[in-house]
Amino acid sequence: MIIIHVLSMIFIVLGLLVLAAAAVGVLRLPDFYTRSHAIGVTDTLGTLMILTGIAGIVGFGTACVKLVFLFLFIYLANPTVTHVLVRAALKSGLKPWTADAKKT
Amino acid sequence: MAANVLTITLRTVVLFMFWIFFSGKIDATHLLMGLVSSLAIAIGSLDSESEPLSPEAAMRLPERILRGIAYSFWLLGRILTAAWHVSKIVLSPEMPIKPKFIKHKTTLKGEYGRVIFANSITLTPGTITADMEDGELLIHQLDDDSSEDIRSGALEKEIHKIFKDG
Amino acid sequence: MISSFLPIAIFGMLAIIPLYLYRIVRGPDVFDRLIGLNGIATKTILFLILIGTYNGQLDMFIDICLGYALLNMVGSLAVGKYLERKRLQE
Repeated sequence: MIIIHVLSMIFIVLGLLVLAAAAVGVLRLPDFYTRSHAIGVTDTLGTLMILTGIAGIVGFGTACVKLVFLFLFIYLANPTVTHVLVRAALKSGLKPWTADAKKT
Repeated sequence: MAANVLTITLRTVVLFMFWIFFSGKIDATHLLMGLVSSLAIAIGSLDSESEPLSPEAAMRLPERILRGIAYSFWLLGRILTAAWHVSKIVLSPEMPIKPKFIKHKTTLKGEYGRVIFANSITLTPGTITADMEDGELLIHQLDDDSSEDIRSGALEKEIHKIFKDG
Repeated sequence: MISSFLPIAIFGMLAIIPLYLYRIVRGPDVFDRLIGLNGIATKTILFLILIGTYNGQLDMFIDICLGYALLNMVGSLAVGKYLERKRLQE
Protein backbone atom coordinates (compact mmCIF):
# COMPACT_ATOMS: atom_id res chain seq x y z
CA MET A 1 0.00 0.00 0.00
CA ILE A 2 2.71 2.44 1.02
CA ILE A 3 4.65 1.53 -2.12
CA ILE A 4 1.72 2.50 -4.36
CA HIS A 5 1.42 5.84 -2.54
CA VAL A 6 5.11 6.56 -3.00
CA LEU A 7 4.87 5.64 -6.69
CA SER A 8 1.84 7.95 -7.07
CA MET A 9 3.75 10.80 -5.47
CA ILE A 10 6.67 10.22 -7.80
CA PHE A 11 4.28 10.30 -10.76
CA ILE A 12 2.65 13.54 -9.61
CA VAL A 13 6.02 15.21 -9.04
CA LEU A 14 7.23 14.07 -12.48
CA GLY A 15 3.99 15.38 -14.00
CA LEU A 16 4.48 18.76 -12.33
CA LEU A 17 8.04 18.88 -13.69
CA VAL A 18 6.77 18.10 -17.20
CA LEU A 19 4.11 20.81 -16.90
CA ALA A 20 6.76 23.30 -15.75
CA ALA A 21 9.03 22.34 -18.67
CA ALA A 22 6.18 22.84 -21.14
CA ALA A 23 5.28 26.19 -19.57
CA VAL A 24 8.89 27.28 -20.02
CA GLY A 25 8.57 26.14 -23.64
CA VAL A 26 5.46 28.25 -24.15
CA LEU A 27 7.42 31.24 -22.86
CA ARG A 28 10.64 30.63 -24.80
CA LEU A 29 9.59 29.35 -28.23
CA PRO A 30 9.56 31.99 -30.94
CA ASP A 31 6.14 31.81 -32.61
CA PHE A 32 2.59 30.53 -32.35
CA TYR A 33 3.12 27.30 -34.30
CA THR A 34 6.07 26.16 -32.22
CA ARG A 35 4.29 27.12 -28.99
CA SER A 36 1.42 24.80 -29.82
CA HIS A 37 3.93 21.93 -29.81
CA ALA A 38 4.85 22.78 -26.23
CA ILE A 39 1.16 22.84 -25.28
CA GLY A 40 0.90 19.37 -26.79
CA VAL A 41 3.46 18.06 -24.28
CA THR A 42 1.39 19.25 -21.30
CA ASP A 43 -1.79 17.86 -22.77
CA THR A 44 -0.33 14.40 -23.28
CA LEU A 45 2.54 13.59 -20.94
CA GLY A 46 1.64 15.90 -18.04
CA THR A 47 -2.00 14.84 -17.95
CA LEU A 48 -1.07 11.17 -18.20
CA MET A 49 1.37 11.35 -15.30
CA ILE A 50 -0.79 13.37 -12.90
CA LEU A 51 -3.94 11.34 -13.60
CA THR A 52 -1.97 8.10 -13.12
CA GLY A 53 -0.71 9.42 -9.80
CA ILE A 54 -4.21 10.37 -8.65
CA ALA A 55 -5.57 6.99 -9.75
CA GLY A 56 -2.92 5.32 -7.62
CA ILE A 57 -3.95 7.38 -4.59
CA VAL A 58 -7.72 6.83 -4.86
CA GLY A 59 -7.43 3.14 -5.77
CA PHE A 60 -9.79 1.18 -7.98
CA GLY A 61 -13.43 2.32 -8.03
CA THR A 62 -15.89 4.62 -9.78
CA ALA A 63 -13.53 7.57 -9.50
CA CYS A 64 -10.77 5.59 -11.21
CA VAL A 65 -12.99 4.71 -14.20
CA LYS A 66 -14.14 8.33 -14.41
CA LEU A 67 -10.50 9.41 -14.49
CA VAL A 68 -9.96 7.10 -17.47
CA PHE A 69 -12.91 8.72 -19.26
CA LEU A 70 -11.57 12.20 -18.50
CA PHE A 71 -8.19 11.13 -19.84
CA LEU A 72 -9.73 9.73 -23.04
CA PHE A 73 -11.76 12.89 -23.51
CA ILE A 74 -8.71 15.13 -23.15
CA TYR A 75 -6.84 12.93 -25.62
CA LEU A 76 -9.66 13.21 -28.17
CA ALA A 77 -10.58 16.88 -27.71
CA ASN A 78 -7.26 18.67 -27.38
CA PRO A 79 -5.79 17.70 -30.77
CA THR A 80 -9.01 18.89 -32.39
CA VAL A 81 -8.75 22.28 -30.71
CA THR A 82 -5.05 22.61 -31.58
CA HIS A 83 -5.76 21.66 -35.17
CA VAL A 84 -8.58 24.22 -35.52
CA LEU A 85 -6.45 27.02 -34.01
CA VAL A 86 -3.44 26.21 -36.21
CA ARG A 87 -5.58 26.05 -39.33
CA ALA A 88 -7.24 29.37 -38.44
CA ALA A 89 -3.82 30.96 -37.92
CA LEU A 90 -2.58 29.55 -41.22
CA LYS A 91 -5.63 30.73 -43.17
CA SER A 92 -5.46 34.19 -41.63
CA GLY A 93 -1.90 34.51 -42.88
CA LEU A 94 0.19 34.29 -39.70
CA LYS A 95 3.78 33.83 -40.88
CA PRO A 96 5.63 30.82 -39.44
CA TRP A 97 9.02 31.45 -37.86
CA THR A 98 11.96 29.75 -39.55
CA ALA A 99 15.50 29.05 -38.37
CA ASP A 100 16.90 31.25 -41.15
CA ALA A 101 15.21 34.40 -39.89
CA LYS A 102 16.90 36.36 -37.14
CA LYS A 103 16.70 34.98 -33.64
CA THR A 104 14.35 36.72 -31.27
CA MET B 1 -34.13 2.09 -42.93
CA ALA B 2 -33.14 -1.13 -41.19
CA ALA B 3 -29.56 0.09 -41.09
CA ASN B 4 -30.70 3.33 -39.48
CA VAL B 5 -32.54 1.39 -36.78
CA LEU B 6 -29.36 -0.58 -36.08
CA THR B 7 -27.28 2.60 -35.81
CA ILE B 8 -29.81 4.25 -33.50
CA THR B 9 -30.04 1.18 -31.25
CA LEU B 10 -26.28 0.87 -30.96
CA ARG B 11 -25.80 4.53 -30.15
CA THR B 12 -28.66 4.56 -27.64
CA VAL B 13 -27.23 1.56 -25.81
CA VAL B 14 -23.77 3.11 -25.56
CA LEU B 15 -25.11 6.51 -24.46
CA PHE B 16 -27.46 4.92 -21.93
CA MET B 17 -24.61 2.96 -20.41
CA PHE B 18 -22.69 6.22 -20.01
CA TRP B 19 -25.74 7.83 -18.41
CA ILE B 20 -26.12 5.06 -15.84
CA PHE B 21 -22.44 5.19 -15.02
CA PHE B 22 -22.26 8.95 -14.56
CA SER B 23 -25.58 9.51 -12.81
CA GLY B 24 -24.99 6.60 -10.44
CA LYS B 25 -28.67 6.43 -9.51
CA ILE B 26 -30.84 3.47 -10.46
CA ASP B 27 -34.44 4.57 -10.00
CA ALA B 28 -37.35 4.96 -12.43
CA THR B 29 -37.09 8.75 -12.87
CA HIS B 30 -33.39 8.82 -13.64
CA LEU B 31 -33.47 5.78 -15.91
CA LEU B 32 -36.43 7.16 -17.91
CA MET B 33 -34.80 10.57 -18.27
CA GLY B 34 -31.59 8.92 -19.42
CA LEU B 35 -33.32 6.67 -21.91
CA VAL B 36 -35.27 9.55 -23.45
CA SER B 37 -32.23 11.80 -23.80
CA SER B 38 -30.02 9.00 -25.18
CA LEU B 39 -32.66 8.18 -27.78
CA ALA B 40 -33.06 11.86 -28.70
CA ILE B 41 -29.30 12.29 -29.15
CA ALA B 42 -28.99 9.04 -31.16
CA ILE B 43 -31.75 10.17 -33.54
CA GLY B 44 -30.57 13.77 -33.68
CA SER B 45 -26.99 12.82 -34.53
CA LEU B 46 -27.97 10.80 -37.60
CA ASP B 47 -26.73 12.52 -40.71
CA SER B 48 -27.35 11.73 -44.33
CA GLU B 49 -23.73 12.09 -45.45
CA SER B 50 -22.05 9.22 -43.67
CA GLU B 51 -23.22 5.79 -44.69
CA PRO B 52 -25.39 3.90 -42.18
CA LEU B 53 -24.01 0.95 -40.30
CA SER B 54 -24.61 -2.34 -42.08
CA PRO B 55 -24.96 -5.61 -40.09
CA GLU B 56 -21.63 -6.86 -41.48
CA ALA B 57 -19.88 -3.70 -40.32
CA ALA B 58 -21.50 -4.08 -36.90
CA MET B 59 -20.11 -7.62 -36.71
CA ARG B 60 -16.61 -6.33 -37.42
CA LEU B 61 -16.90 -3.60 -34.80
CA PRO B 62 -15.70 -5.52 -31.68
CA GLU B 63 -12.58 -6.76 -33.46
CA ARG B 64 -11.79 -3.25 -34.66
CA ILE B 65 -12.26 -1.82 -31.20
CA LEU B 66 -9.79 -4.37 -29.80
CA ARG B 67 -7.27 -3.50 -32.49
CA GLY B 68 -7.89 0.20 -31.80
CA ILE B 69 -7.04 -0.35 -28.14
CA ALA B 70 -3.84 -2.13 -29.15
CA TYR B 71 -3.06 0.78 -31.45
CA SER B 72 -3.61 3.36 -28.70
CA PHE B 73 -1.09 1.59 -26.47
CA TRP B 74 1.42 1.62 -29.31
CA LEU B 75 0.69 5.32 -29.85
CA LEU B 76 1.12 6.00 -26.12
CA GLY B 77 4.66 4.64 -26.34
CA ARG B 78 5.44 6.89 -29.30
CA ILE B 79 3.92 9.88 -27.46
CA LEU B 80 6.12 9.27 -24.43
CA THR B 81 9.31 9.27 -26.49
CA ALA B 82 8.17 12.29 -28.51
CA ALA B 83 7.21 14.26 -25.40
CA TRP B 84 10.60 13.50 -23.87
CA HIS B 85 12.28 14.67 -27.09
CA VAL B 86 10.32 17.96 -27.18
CA SER B 87 10.92 18.68 -23.49
CA LYS B 88 14.65 18.17 -24.02
CA ILE B 89 14.65 20.60 -26.95
CA VAL B 90 12.70 23.22 -25.02
CA LEU B 91 14.92 23.06 -21.95
CA SER B 92 18.27 23.04 -23.77
CA PRO B 93 19.83 26.53 -23.68
CA GLU B 94 20.41 26.93 -27.44
CA MET B 95 17.01 25.47 -28.48
CA PRO B 96 17.91 23.52 -31.63
CA ILE B 97 14.58 23.84 -33.45
CA LYS B 98 14.01 23.74 -37.19
CA PRO B 99 10.26 24.39 -37.57
CA LYS B 100 8.78 24.07 -41.04
CA PHE B 101 5.72 22.83 -42.89
CA ILE B 102 5.97 19.50 -44.68
CA LYS B 103 3.51 17.79 -47.01
CA HIS B 104 2.57 14.16 -46.69
CA LYS B 105 0.34 12.11 -48.97
CA THR B 106 -1.52 9.47 -47.02
CA THR B 107 -2.38 6.02 -48.34
CA LEU B 108 -5.38 5.71 -46.01
CA LYS B 109 -8.67 5.68 -47.89
CA GLY B 110 -11.43 5.61 -45.28
CA GLU B 111 -12.83 8.61 -43.41
CA TYR B 112 -12.21 7.13 -39.96
CA GLY B 113 -8.66 6.08 -40.78
CA ARG B 114 -7.79 9.58 -41.94
CA VAL B 115 -9.31 11.18 -38.87
CA ILE B 116 -7.37 8.81 -36.60
CA PHE B 117 -4.20 9.54 -38.57
CA ALA B 118 -4.58 13.33 -38.35
CA ASN B 119 -5.51 13.17 -34.68
CA SER B 120 -2.54 10.92 -33.85
CA ILE B 121 -0.18 13.31 -35.62
CA THR B 122 -1.45 16.27 -33.61
CA LEU B 123 -1.42 14.23 -30.39
CA THR B 124 2.26 13.38 -30.83
CA PRO B 125 4.28 16.33 -29.49
CA GLY B 126 6.41 17.91 -32.18
CA THR B 127 4.01 17.51 -35.08
CA ILE B 128 0.66 19.16 -35.84
CA THR B 129 -1.74 18.60 -38.71
CA ALA B 130 -2.59 22.01 -40.12
CA ASP B 131 -4.75 21.03 -43.09
CA MET B 132 -5.90 18.05 -45.13
CA GLU B 133 -7.14 18.09 -48.69
CA ASP B 134 -7.90 14.89 -50.60
CA GLY B 135 -5.49 12.84 -48.54
CA GLU B 136 -2.66 15.36 -48.67
CA LEU B 137 -1.77 16.59 -45.21
CA LEU B 138 0.02 19.79 -44.33
CA ILE B 139 2.06 19.06 -41.20
CA HIS B 140 4.00 21.47 -39.03
CA GLN B 141 7.09 19.94 -37.44
CA LEU B 142 9.28 21.21 -34.64
CA ASP B 143 12.42 19.55 -35.97
CA ASP B 144 13.33 16.80 -38.40
CA ASP B 145 13.39 14.01 -35.80
CA SER B 146 9.79 14.71 -34.72
CA SER B 147 8.27 13.79 -38.06
CA GLU B 148 10.38 10.65 -38.55
CA ASP B 149 7.44 8.28 -37.95
CA ILE B 150 5.21 10.09 -40.43
CA ARG B 151 7.72 10.34 -43.25
CA SER B 152 8.77 6.70 -42.93
CA GLY B 153 5.11 5.61 -42.90
CA ALA B 154 5.35 3.71 -39.61
CA LEU B 155 2.28 5.47 -38.20
CA GLU B 156 0.19 4.72 -41.27
CA LYS B 157 1.16 1.06 -41.18
CA GLU B 158 -0.20 0.72 -37.65
CA ILE B 159 -3.51 2.37 -38.63
CA HIS B 160 -3.78 0.10 -41.68
CA LYS B 161 -3.69 -2.80 -39.23
CA ILE B 162 -6.91 -1.58 -37.55
CA PHE B 163 -8.80 -1.46 -40.85
CA LYS B 164 -7.13 -4.34 -42.64
CA ASP B 165 -10.43 -6.18 -43.28
CA GLY B 166 -11.78 -3.27 -45.32
CA MET C 1 1.85 11.20 4.13
CA ILE C 2 -0.43 11.78 1.18
CA SER C 3 -2.37 14.49 3.00
CA SER C 4 0.79 16.49 3.57
CA PHE C 5 2.02 15.90 0.02
CA LEU C 6 -1.11 17.05 -1.83
CA PRO C 7 -1.01 20.71 -0.67
CA ILE C 8 2.55 20.93 -2.00
CA ALA C 9 1.41 19.58 -5.36
CA ILE C 10 -1.50 22.05 -5.40
CA PHE C 11 0.87 24.96 -4.77
CA GLY C 12 3.21 23.66 -7.45
CA MET C 13 0.32 23.73 -9.91
CA LEU C 14 -0.56 27.27 -8.76
CA ALA C 15 3.02 28.33 -9.49
CA ILE C 16 2.84 27.01 -13.08
CA ILE C 17 -0.35 28.80 -14.12
CA PRO C 18 1.09 32.40 -14.06
CA LEU C 19 3.64 31.38 -16.71
CA TYR C 20 0.75 30.90 -19.13
CA LEU C 21 -0.80 34.14 -17.91
CA TYR C 22 2.25 35.96 -19.22
CA ARG C 23 1.57 34.53 -22.68
CA ILE C 24 -2.06 35.65 -22.49
CA VAL C 25 -1.21 39.21 -21.47
CA ARG C 26 1.76 39.72 -23.81
CA GLY C 27 1.11 37.27 -26.66
CA PRO C 28 1.76 39.17 -29.90
CA ASP C 29 -1.23 37.63 -31.66
CA VAL C 30 -4.76 36.53 -30.79
CA PHE C 31 -3.73 32.95 -31.39
CA ASP C 32 -0.94 33.13 -28.82
CA ARG C 33 -3.51 34.28 -26.29
CA LEU C 34 -5.83 31.43 -27.25
CA ILE C 35 -3.06 28.84 -26.89
CA GLY C 36 -2.29 30.30 -23.44
CA LEU C 37 -5.96 30.03 -22.46
CA ASN C 38 -6.07 26.46 -23.68
CA GLY C 39 -3.01 25.64 -21.60
CA ILE C 40 -4.57 27.19 -18.50
CA ALA C 41 -7.77 25.21 -19.08
CA THR C 42 -5.86 21.91 -19.04
CA LYS C 43 -3.98 23.01 -15.91
CA THR C 44 -7.27 23.97 -14.25
CA ILE C 45 -8.67 20.50 -14.85
CA LEU C 46 -5.65 18.88 -13.21
CA PHE C 47 -5.74 21.48 -10.42
CA LEU C 48 -9.40 20.71 -9.66
CA ILE C 49 -8.64 16.99 -9.56
CA LEU C 50 -5.81 17.56 -7.08
CA ILE C 51 -8.12 19.66 -4.89
CA GLY C 52 -10.80 16.97 -5.14
CA THR C 53 -8.36 14.29 -4.00
CA TYR C 54 -7.32 16.48 -1.09
CA ASN C 55 -10.95 17.06 -0.04
CA GLY C 56 -11.88 13.41 -0.51
CA GLN C 57 -14.71 14.28 -2.91
CA LEU C 58 -13.04 13.22 -6.13
CA ASP C 59 -16.25 11.87 -7.71
CA MET C 60 -17.93 15.25 -7.66
CA PHE C 61 -14.84 17.11 -8.82
CA ILE C 62 -14.34 14.79 -11.78
CA ASP C 63 -17.87 15.53 -12.96
CA ILE C 64 -17.11 19.24 -12.76
CA CYS C 65 -13.87 18.66 -14.67
CA LEU C 66 -15.67 16.79 -17.43
CA GLY C 67 -18.15 19.64 -17.81
CA TYR C 68 -15.34 22.17 -17.80
CA ALA C 69 -13.37 20.23 -20.42
CA LEU C 70 -16.45 20.01 -22.66
CA LEU C 71 -17.19 23.74 -22.36
CA ASN C 72 -13.56 24.62 -22.99
CA MET C 73 -13.44 22.48 -26.13
CA VAL C 74 -16.67 23.91 -27.57
CA GLY C 75 -15.60 27.46 -26.72
CA SER C 76 -12.16 27.10 -28.30
CA LEU C 77 -13.64 25.53 -31.42
CA ALA C 78 -16.16 28.36 -31.76
CA VAL C 79 -13.52 31.07 -31.36
CA GLY C 80 -11.19 29.32 -33.80
CA LYS C 81 -13.91 29.00 -36.43
CA TYR C 82 -14.95 32.62 -35.90
CA LEU C 83 -11.41 33.95 -36.31
CA GLU C 84 -10.86 31.85 -39.41
CA ARG C 85 -13.95 33.27 -41.10
CA LYS C 86 -13.44 36.85 -39.92
CA ARG C 87 -9.83 37.16 -41.05
CA LEU C 88 -10.72 35.74 -44.45
CA GLN C 89 -13.35 38.44 -45.02
CA GLU C 90 -10.97 41.31 -44.29
